[in-house]
Amino acid sequence: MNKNIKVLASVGIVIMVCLVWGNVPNIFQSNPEGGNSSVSRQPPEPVGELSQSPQTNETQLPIVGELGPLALFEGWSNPLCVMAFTGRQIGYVEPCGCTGLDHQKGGLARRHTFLQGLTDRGWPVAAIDIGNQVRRFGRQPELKFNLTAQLLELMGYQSVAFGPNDLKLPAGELFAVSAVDQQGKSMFVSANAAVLDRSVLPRLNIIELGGKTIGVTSLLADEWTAQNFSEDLVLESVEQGLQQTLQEVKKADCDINVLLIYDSLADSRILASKFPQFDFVVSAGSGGEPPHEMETVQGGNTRFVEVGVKGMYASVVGLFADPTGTLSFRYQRVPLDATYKDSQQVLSYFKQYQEELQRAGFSGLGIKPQSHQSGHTFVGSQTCSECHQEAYEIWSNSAHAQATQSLITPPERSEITRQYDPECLSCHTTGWQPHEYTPFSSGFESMAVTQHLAGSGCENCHGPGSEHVRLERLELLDDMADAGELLNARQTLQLSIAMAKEHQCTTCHDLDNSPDFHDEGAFEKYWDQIKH
Amino acid sequence: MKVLVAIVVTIVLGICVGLVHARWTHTGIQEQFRPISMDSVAEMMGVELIEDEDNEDRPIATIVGGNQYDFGSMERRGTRSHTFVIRNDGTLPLSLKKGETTCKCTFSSVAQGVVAPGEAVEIKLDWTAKEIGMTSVFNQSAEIYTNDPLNRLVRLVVRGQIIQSVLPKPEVMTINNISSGEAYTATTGLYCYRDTVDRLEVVDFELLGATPLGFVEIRFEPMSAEVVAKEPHATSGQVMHVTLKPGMKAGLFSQAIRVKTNLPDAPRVDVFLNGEVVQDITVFGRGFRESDGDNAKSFGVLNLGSIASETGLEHNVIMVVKGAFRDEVSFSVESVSPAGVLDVQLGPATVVGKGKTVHHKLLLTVKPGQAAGNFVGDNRGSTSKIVLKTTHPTTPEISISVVFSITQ
Repeated sequence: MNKNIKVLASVGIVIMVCLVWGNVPNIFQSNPEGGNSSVSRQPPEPVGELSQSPQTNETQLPIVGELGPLALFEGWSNPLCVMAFTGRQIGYVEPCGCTGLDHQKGGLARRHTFLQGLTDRGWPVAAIDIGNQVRRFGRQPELKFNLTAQLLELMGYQSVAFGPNDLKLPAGELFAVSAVDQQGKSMFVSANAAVLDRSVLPRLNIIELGGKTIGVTSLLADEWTAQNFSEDLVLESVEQGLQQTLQEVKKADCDINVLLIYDSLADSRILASKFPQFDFVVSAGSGGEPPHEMETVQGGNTRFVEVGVKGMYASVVGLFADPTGTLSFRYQRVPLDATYKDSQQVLSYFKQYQEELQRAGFSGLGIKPQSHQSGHTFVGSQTCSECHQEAYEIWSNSAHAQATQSLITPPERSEITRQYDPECLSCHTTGWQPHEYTPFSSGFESMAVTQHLAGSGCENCHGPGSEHVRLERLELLDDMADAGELLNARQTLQLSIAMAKEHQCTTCHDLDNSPDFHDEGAFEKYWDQIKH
Repeated sequence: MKVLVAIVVTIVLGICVGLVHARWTHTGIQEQFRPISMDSVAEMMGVELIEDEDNEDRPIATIVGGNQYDFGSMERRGTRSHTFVIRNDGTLPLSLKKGETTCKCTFSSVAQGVVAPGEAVEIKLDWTAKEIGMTSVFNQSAEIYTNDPLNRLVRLVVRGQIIQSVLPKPEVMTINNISSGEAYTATTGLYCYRDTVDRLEVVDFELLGATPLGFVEIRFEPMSAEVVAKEPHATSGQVMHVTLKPGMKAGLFSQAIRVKTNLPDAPRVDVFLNGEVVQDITVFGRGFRESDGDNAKSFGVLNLGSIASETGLEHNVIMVVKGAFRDEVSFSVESVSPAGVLDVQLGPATVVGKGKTVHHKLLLTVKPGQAAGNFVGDNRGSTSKIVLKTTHPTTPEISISVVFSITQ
């Protein structure tokens, strides 16, 4: 008997010590919030609990980050399901990679890998997108929208909203991808926007996941619906749209209700506090990257989520249940950076997209070359070399000279060539308008037709040289060239370093495509490589 | 004595088991994702992070004057900057490292490194208000990792409202899916944010580009006081009406319009107009793609995908009729091939969109029990084809290729 008691006591102590060491925080380390993953620690408490008293209301960003860098999904043990919110892609189906993909975030190829990673963990995933897949208007954005819709479907997205730019696309294109199928289902959802017929687009999508139901709807701000981009759209005000939708929300009686709002942060917050039926309100109004924490909407329990811009982040909310069934959640923003390898499946779609651009050609894409405001034409860097041999030598040994070739044989994602993509050609060839994605009428067309304009040539910075060349050649032939005209043409093409630094270079080396160019002292470093 | 030994042994054993268990459960051994852990931050910053937040002997990152700065209203295309100051109020060196940023963030060389106790560094955030986004309000940030255990991430925020002396809202007018046979008008507001003139007036305007769009008529009228009052900081305004007259060719169009106002030094005010003129009859359907236009007789391809023989399929397509003949146009089924597989029924016409559009429904049915077959348009079988006759004077026929397969 005595011996049995000793054995039982020993076993009890072992169990107690195991429990104490493994599950009580702050015994051997005292940093409950930090992400130290090298020593044992208690997973952080859920950052919020549903149906409980509200947290401190916080409508402004915190003064300092409370959480600090955390290991991704640390302590997310067996969530019932996770909701991954993305959006505001605005055309960035992939980071351009001009200065290395490692420097840039976002892109559908990484997003697919990321979502696949969540699924591989055995987590039920609801991928939800707030919309605005494109930025511009025209055939190329149409193709891009279709590409994105196909890829969102491939990734298993269950709810996708319309952004204002999406609704500017031809209604037939939108209808083709968004209208309900035979089962009355559509990946797209909107409380106040539909194409052609209100009955062909759901106001509320119900997602069944991890034994819970999630109701998702979306709203487009009145500012956009008032513009009525096409008579083939059925647009309602926020109030009208919500009136109908709230009835559906009530009837559906989902465990979790999510509202996606395409509006400013301030107005999204107002809507969120006005409609406490929604547990999560996701706003498109974020300025840059989403914050590290969710905020709680003033005067309620609704949690406010942001998605950032350009599809660079996924804002992930995990739902958990304790043994009593009470739902709680955790939140983490995930930068979709080079850590996530490219999905080969998505890359194959990108390849098809580039082939579509090639088939369409400039005319098929509705691209009409414009005359240069100077009235002059582009002659190509080889012509410049007739006099400016030294500068040409420097240029031809620079990356600028290889700019077009880098589209034909890209250093990264090399299986996809991009020499027919106007969005790439605009900075990688000579004689285009970088931000308009249209060529000047004497600008680069193709390697077959205008090989002399391959690369980012002299004239991209100095302007089209036809008049300058004409006058200089007259002078060389001892013909009568007007000295004033000659000097004027020379001066017109001169570019000061200050002007180049302030205006010219950044038209292509912008923050999106060339982030390093904006570091302190970067211009001088870059200039050093092409100094002439 | 034996009991004591047993207790000591079990405690040691317990600690070992507990340690292994805790590491396995909580420390990312099973982590498939890149850990943004304290260790990785420590490695990135090249310093050892202090984990004990209760320890008084630590660096303390204090943002002098707060982490947010409001530029207020800011002229478009202008650049503003603000210098934040981070002071180390602690007793140990404070390490700083630039993290995510959405704006130009200039760190002094010191700010990228170590700040001694009592010292401060400046971090300058520049923002150029190039584009007006969803609203004219912007909110940009830069994040800085620190080794202050209580402030591992500092977020510096600049915000403000972008204005320009005269701003069109919306700046881009989109008129989509319009009929070439009718006039359409789009409207935008030109808001003036200066009080140096009594009232904004339009002096002149020009259509930009080598080949300006024809069929455009533009007129302006003073904006009512009620509308002006709704726009923050606006002092007056003009309403700009752009009318596209009948006769435009089908296809995409875009046009920039430069407006000159009575403001003496106002920057250019460019308004953009774009959209698409469509034929009087267009086809809408889930999975329908218009043909590229090189085949005038074919309207496009409808992809129905794979259909289970057991369930069959019902699929709606809508023919949208616009233009002067919309009320008179009717449709009839000319042919469906191959016969007996796909059934096509025309539904009633519905007038929508303030009477300017008429919808004609077309119900496609693949009845349950059909034999397996491929109608996918490759070497496995030709596509199915629907030909409709119309009474429209210039579009007498519509041909739709239908792609599908029936599986058992």
